[in-house]
Amino acid sequence: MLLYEHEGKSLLREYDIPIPEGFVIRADTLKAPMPSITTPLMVKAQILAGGRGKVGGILAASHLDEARSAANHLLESEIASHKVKLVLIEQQQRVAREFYVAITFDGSEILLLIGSEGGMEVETFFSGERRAIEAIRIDPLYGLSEYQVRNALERLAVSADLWAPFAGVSRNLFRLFRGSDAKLAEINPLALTAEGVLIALDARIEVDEAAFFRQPRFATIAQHRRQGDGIAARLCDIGVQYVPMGGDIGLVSQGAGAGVTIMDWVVREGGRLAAFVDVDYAILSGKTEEALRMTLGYFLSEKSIRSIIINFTTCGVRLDVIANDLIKVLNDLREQRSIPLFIHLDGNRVDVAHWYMEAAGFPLCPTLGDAVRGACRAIVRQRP
Amino acid sequence: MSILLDRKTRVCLQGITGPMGRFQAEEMRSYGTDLVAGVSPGRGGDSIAGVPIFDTMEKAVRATGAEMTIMFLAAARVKDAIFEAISAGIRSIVCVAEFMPVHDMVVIKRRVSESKVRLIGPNCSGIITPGEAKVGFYSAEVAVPGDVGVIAKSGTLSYIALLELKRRGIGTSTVVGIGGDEIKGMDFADCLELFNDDPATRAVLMIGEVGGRDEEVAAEYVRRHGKKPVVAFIAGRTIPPGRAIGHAGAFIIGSKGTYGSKVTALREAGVRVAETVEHIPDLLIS
Repeated sequence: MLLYEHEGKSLLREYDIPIPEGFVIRADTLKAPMPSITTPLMVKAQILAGGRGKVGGILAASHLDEARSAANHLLESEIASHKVKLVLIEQQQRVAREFYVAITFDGSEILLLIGSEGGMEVETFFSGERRAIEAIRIDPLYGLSEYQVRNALERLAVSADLWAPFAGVSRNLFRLFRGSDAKLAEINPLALTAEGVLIALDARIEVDEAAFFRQPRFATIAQHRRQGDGIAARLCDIGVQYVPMGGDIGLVSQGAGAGVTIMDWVVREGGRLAAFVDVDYAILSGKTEEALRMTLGYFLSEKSIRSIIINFTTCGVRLDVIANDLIKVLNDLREQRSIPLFIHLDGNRVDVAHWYMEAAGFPLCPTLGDAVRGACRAIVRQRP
Repeated sequence: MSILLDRKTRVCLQGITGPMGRFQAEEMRSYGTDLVAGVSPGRGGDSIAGVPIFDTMEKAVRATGAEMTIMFLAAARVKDAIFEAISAGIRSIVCVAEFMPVHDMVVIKRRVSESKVRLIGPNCSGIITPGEAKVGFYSAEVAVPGDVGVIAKSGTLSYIALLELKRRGIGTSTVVGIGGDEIKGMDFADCLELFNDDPATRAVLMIGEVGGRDEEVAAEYVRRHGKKPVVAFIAGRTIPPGRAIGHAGAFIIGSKGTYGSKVTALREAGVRVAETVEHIPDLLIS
């Protein structure tokens, strides 16, 4: 999960990395009195997209009133097709020089990346444009030593008076990276001010969802963000991954690999998925019926979805148990809308599962290929 | 012959008293796996499905000579369980847990590299040597004995591929689920090396997916050391780069990790790449 700039900056401050003084406002707090901070100011749209500055998402203001109207403008706009809901107002810095600093994983290695100029992106480093950037491998057990940072800065021809403060920022960033279960902790740019201080002007921090069990604050942020996000959020709450794809074939499947393979296959047969739904985790947490009911109910309510593939190729859980839940849900939804269903079930206890499905009057596709082709042909037949 | 697992391999199950552990113990036992011990702290002395339970891995390994362990534990407990298994002197660890924190995996990987233990997984389906033994999810319905070695990232996709093989009368020597996580234990190349030397394996099927670099590394291994025909299938051709769908969304770095780069690397190494899962048997037969 990517944190917003202001969330990332709060983390930086907790780990003793200097950030500009500032505050956030929303549309409903726009009229409220603002804290008095030293001007001039920067007004920054809080959206999860890079390159905000180039598309009008970052504005300068010489005093608070100007900042208020800039914030108002941003809150009424869409920046890089993101609706702006939150704006960060902070002190403008007098920048003498910009650097880039980030910590991330490269496979099972942890890398500290230091760039002698700001404005670059971590992706450009990995794509091979390694100019003016030094990569330092950090041992997960030994941590980061100051000499590693000094060596990198020396190679980048950064003057010696910055080595100690830069090493301090790097070590704090590594503490944050470990302490927050981050997958990326990027400061871009890290500015050297005219006063000679290193300060983080932006923060791009991605935390690991898999570690939310020990990072309750991020789990809370994630839950908060999901609220009101419609079907995807409701499905996510019960362990279902829902990815809208824009086509007209609904897919309910177990396992990412199976789902992705079916998606590729549908495209090959000239079709397009409306949504990719993986119920794997819901099944493992005993919510099969609920997941099927919510997903299939949603597919039936969406008029744009005109055929449905249901695939369970399973080994670790019993197919006969899944078939029972599926029959219950399909029977309950029968009245809602008639739509061509292409069901393929195979794996653990397949014989019993097939017997249940046939007894309940739901025909099965002999192979997955038959289900995919069937669903694609059903769409063609429905075209005017 | 087979790789990693046969009917004589002595297997231990960590987390045997949970609902999943109990169910899998029964499944493995009835398939023929030599499941010699279960571990569950505080439950030592009990038994499940005829399998004696021990409080610690140290006791289990000492009493039964277990060589391989599989764990059915929540991701939060996996690091501790792996460290415990290594310190007890286990030889190989099968980890099926999903959603492992990256920071834990980095440390686990480091611990494994300092030992002689083999780690399979995490987020994998386990291993089956059809007709002999299974450790993990693979069930009798999908895998029949034969001479094709299978290595797969995704479990569910490997079940689909195995069913296509079975439909066309092709069986397997051993199936290894390596998992789709970026940081994992054994990768394609490690398994290819074992299959290279396994007399029961005539050809190898690799089931990969976009993201990461494992397929490219495997292609390089095949080019240098491959002794047997290798067929591959890569899922995720239509995932837009940079978009995460399940574990198939692993970081696509530069030009590496895309569908095109994997297929090109594999074909240049002499690997035949199947366009759909239905085409896999054709390439293994001809």
